[in-house]
Amino acid sequence: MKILCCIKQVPEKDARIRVASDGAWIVEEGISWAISECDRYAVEAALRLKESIGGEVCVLSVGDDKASKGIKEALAMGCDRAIHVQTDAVARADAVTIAKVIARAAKDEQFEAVFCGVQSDDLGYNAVAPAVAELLGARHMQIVLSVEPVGESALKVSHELDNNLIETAEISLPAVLGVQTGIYDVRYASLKGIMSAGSKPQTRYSLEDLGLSEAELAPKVTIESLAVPERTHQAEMIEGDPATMAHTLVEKLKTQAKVL
Amino acid sequence: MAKKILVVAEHRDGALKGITKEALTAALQVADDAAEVSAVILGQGVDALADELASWAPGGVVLFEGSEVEQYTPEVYVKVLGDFIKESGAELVLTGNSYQAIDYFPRLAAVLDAPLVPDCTAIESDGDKLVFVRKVMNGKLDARCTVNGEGPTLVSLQQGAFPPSGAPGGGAVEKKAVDAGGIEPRKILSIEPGETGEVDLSEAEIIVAGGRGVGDEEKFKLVFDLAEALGGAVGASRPPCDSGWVESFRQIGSSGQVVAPKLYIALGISGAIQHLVGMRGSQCIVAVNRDPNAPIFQEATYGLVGDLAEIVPALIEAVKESQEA
Repeated sequence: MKILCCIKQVPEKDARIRVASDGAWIVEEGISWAISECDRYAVEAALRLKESIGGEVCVLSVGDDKASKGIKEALAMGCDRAIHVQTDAVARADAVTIAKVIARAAKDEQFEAVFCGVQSDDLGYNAVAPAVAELLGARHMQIVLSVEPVGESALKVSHELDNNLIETAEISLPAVLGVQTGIYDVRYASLKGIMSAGSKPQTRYSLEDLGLSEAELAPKVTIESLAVPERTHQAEMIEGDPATMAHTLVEKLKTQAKVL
Repeated sequence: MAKKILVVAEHRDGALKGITKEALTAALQVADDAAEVSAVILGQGVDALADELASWAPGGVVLFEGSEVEQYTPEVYVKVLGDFIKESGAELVLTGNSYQAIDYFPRLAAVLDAPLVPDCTAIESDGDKLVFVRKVMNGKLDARCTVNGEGPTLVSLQQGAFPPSGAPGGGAVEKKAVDAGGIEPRKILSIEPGETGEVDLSEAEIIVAGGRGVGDEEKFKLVFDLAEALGGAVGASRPPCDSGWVESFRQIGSSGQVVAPKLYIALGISGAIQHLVGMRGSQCIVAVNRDPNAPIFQEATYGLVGDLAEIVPALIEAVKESQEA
């Protein structure tokens, strides 16, 4: 099976995020970047599907040099080859615009199964997988919990619905799946994987190579400003050394909140 | 602020979802004229829900009825709603950011080639433009966004962001047949409740929950120790369950259990919305976190900043002392 997984480099979860001087983006220098958490599960899901049914896994990322690092890591984890769309132009773009770039880069290859993380840790749209599916004319499923092949032309996929319900459906290929976190133990790159990652084939495209028009790339949503959220409510902060804090809290829980 | 607004309703088990009423509330707030707020609902045998919806949508309700929409599938929803939105001339299309919306709304945006603003927490006006506020960078920042171009804008609203007002009354219901010509929906095999396990957290009066900030499986024992001292149950946010530190049935939030105990103690939980929606109803919330800017402190009654390894043992000690006193 021809399998694709899409990954994005994002600020690490513990990164100290500061707003840049233009007020509309973050200071990118001096923070660590990593593959977005859900996307690691997308890589794992892609590799597991290949291991169960055969074929190849290609990893795709859109971004500048930071994306190269993520691609290298995915190749070290076991992906066979990579597509890197080298651009910083869509870093702040809306989900549909990002999906257009991914879909265009993937279209000619006719991947049968495409895995994305359900949501990125930076812009958090929760939206790229279904939009890519539409643009590729594929089926999709979002918030995916499990995937198993049904013959050569379908997948049995479970996903989360509201109210803690889980729906299982059979969907025909091609399909784009947005993978939830926590569904597998994600593998680490082996030493052998790391050694061989550099020699695996990488296709590099610029936005011009993809032939996307300016109109297609014009952002539909513009981030005008970023700010630390205004506090509508703030907890009563309890201060002091740990023992003092603990005693003060227990006292307040008994006498003020009356919950102990 | 906005002219024609369409709300896409959602229902399950014979009831309108709360987030649908929240979306209607948002629509009525941003509408220039309440008469321009209309709603659409898809289903079979949901006449009563359409009537209820009409009391919220002065501009009227369109009910798409048919066996094809008795059960949600993104294929049919996208086809029916895509055609209807084009025909309706709606400027703004609102819905609650449910898991169902996460599944089909982005695809609808791609079909319409429309701006999509997911999981919006506020809508403001700046002159003649609407400004949509949403969380980015894992909730650390608010992004204020505007949209460009002609045609409809699709916005999903974060659960709880627009507390429902009263229904203004007044709309009529128009029924339409579903035209899902040529669309073959997926084959749904089953819909079943997720794992709930032996612990029904919804009954617990005291819950001590741990998050990613607890550190690892071994350190998670501290969470159990404090729960034991308080006679409470142990819960968790998503990361500890994902990492296998605790059983997944302990998960509290949009993918897990929804709880409302008397006392909720959040240890090393930063406060992602997916967790907050599962515990916001608690009577008293205590948050302990290393990061003084963690969003959880905006939900909590009491906040303690510091290292769990120091604070939790001190808390256990203080609880025991107070019990002996």
